[in-house]
Amino acid sequence: MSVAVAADEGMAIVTRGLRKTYRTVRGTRVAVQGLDLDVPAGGVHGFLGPNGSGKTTTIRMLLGLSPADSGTMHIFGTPVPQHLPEVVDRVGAIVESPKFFPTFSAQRNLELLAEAIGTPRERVGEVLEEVGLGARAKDTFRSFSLGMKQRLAIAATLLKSPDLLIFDEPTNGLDPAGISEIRHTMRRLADEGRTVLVSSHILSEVEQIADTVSIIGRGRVLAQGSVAALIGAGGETVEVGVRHPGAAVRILRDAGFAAEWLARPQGADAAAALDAAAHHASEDADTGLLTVTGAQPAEISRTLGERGLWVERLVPSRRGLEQIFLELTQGEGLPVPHPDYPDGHGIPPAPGARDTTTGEQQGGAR
Amino acid sequence: MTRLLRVELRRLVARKVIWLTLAAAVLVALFTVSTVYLQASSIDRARAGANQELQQIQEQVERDRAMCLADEQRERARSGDPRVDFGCEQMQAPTAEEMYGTMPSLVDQYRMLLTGLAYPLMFLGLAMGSTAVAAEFGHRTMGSLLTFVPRRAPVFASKVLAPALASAPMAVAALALVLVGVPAVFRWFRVDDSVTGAQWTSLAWMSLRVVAITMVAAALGAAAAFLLRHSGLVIGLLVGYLLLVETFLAGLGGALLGRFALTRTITGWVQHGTTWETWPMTCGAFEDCQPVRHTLSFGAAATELGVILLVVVLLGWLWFRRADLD
Repeated sequence: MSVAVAADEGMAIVTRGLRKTYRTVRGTRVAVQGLDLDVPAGGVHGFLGPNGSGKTTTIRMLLGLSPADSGTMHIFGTPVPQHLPEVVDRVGAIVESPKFFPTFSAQRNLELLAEAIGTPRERVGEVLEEVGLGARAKDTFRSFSLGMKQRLAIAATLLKSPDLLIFDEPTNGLDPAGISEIRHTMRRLADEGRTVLVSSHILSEVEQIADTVSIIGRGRVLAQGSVAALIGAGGETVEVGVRHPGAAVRILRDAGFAAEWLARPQGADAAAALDAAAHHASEDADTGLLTVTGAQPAEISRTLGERGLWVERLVPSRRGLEQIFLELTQGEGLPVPHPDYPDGHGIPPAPGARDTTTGEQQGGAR
Repeated sequence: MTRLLRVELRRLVARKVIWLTLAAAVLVALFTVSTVYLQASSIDRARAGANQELQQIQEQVERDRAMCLADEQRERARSGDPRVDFGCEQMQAPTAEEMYGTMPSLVDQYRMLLTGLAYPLMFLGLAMGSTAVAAEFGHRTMGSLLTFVPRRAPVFASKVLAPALASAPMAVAALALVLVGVPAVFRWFRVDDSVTGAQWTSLAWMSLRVVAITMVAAALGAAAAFLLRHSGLVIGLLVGYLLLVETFLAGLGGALLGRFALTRTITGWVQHGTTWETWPMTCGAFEDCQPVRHTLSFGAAATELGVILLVVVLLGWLWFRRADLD
């Protein structure tokens, strides 16, 4: 699946053929392979992928913290890392967790960074107020809650008044209030005209604020484009509760809709089973559930009503980003978010898993 | 670069460990002065309390000498040989200085103390430099800084230079305490503390060299921490080297290893050249052996220290230039 994004014009970040491998005692591990990423300027761009898919490695390469093996990267049209110093003032980033000196106060931590980049010291007070830490400026970093640490990190990025903000898993470990707060902050920053790149594997969170997304797996882009276009590409699904579901499926299919009986028999030929069900009242008398794709609820209701089948339940549902993500990443044989994991984290790739195409070890790189 | 250096110095000054190393340097200096005080007071006490004992010994020696001379006269008379000599003239009563010792001259004392002081100051400088950089890796703030200042060369330079500069006041404070404290002890015990102008100049240069080597140690510690990332490893490696190579192997290896021993190089630098003697390995038990005299010039010591600094800093930079950072 791919929704085209215009070429370099108006792009905050463009990468082409980006590749990064790590040498380990057990051989070479590919973290990013041939990544072609396009992040449009302005708005929130979700950078999605399971743990170990290469999100953080990509961000670190963009910021010059980790050298790429090959490929090109541009930030606002400037090639990086070669010319990163020319564009770094326009980029603010938090990679993984906020990192400051624990025994220094919030103010001192920011003052040191401000002095390093030649920002007036008064700006420190302003950004601390901006993120709601003005009253805690003199407190040490280690006394802060995780949410406050994250806000301090955001304040640090604002010292530069950046056009591009990169947040790597910004809500990791935060409580719901903290998550909501960070989400609103990111949205606000984007609404001010900045570009916000947020990497995450918590899709519901990104879906709420992102304008565009890139989904990556095994270090390469699986899909990217606007959230609306990605979700819309799959069409809208309607869940239908109706008596004689087998008959209803046949009627809807005859009317040209894609209908599926959720309780249809497994293993047998589906069409034959549906026909059989439709002709056996004893089997088809109870209410069953169908899913119908590509039809409006009113059309479904009218079509079935005209044939004497009355709809008992009609629930329109859109395919979420999560569903798209799962489809894409499952197709890649990637670890996916698992309901048994309370924080929604994905299962890390099995140690020693190998890419059959390259023979190189996969995943796990952060 | 200057801005980054200023930031690094501010960061260092804000860290407690810097103040702890300064306190440790002051303690070392005070301990040094106290050893001089203890030495002087011990001599002074012994001399003051032992006048009667000295007089008794002197009287006894006089009596013994007189008896010796009398015996010598008798023997000459008995044998008729005027060349008979019992060596009575060699029986001399000891002086107070010979019995209870004397303080070395102030200049000699200074030379000895400054050389001794260089080692703990170097260790503290090394600890200061290595902890400053290792803390950056420990707290993972190095990567954060690079997202603000992505030029690695000035970042590396500022982080190596800052501890070197910060260690200078520490060394100066310790030296000042010793340079002021020791003459005060001399005066207190009424020991001759005269130092000529030329000697003061020589001592001033020696002090400067102690400050310089402390700064070198701090820079080395910082550069080594880029490679090893843990101050414990840096210090452990140094201590291990000193124990294994300088103590154990130098004892086995003889002159060649002794020539390139780090401690020898440091002494050669601080004392503006140094000499030492070794005994030939082939010398038998009953042979008339002469020690072999070795010299390490100031230039050679300075060159060796410069090479060590250059190699460690270069290795640190080569690693940091392409390192994957959090």
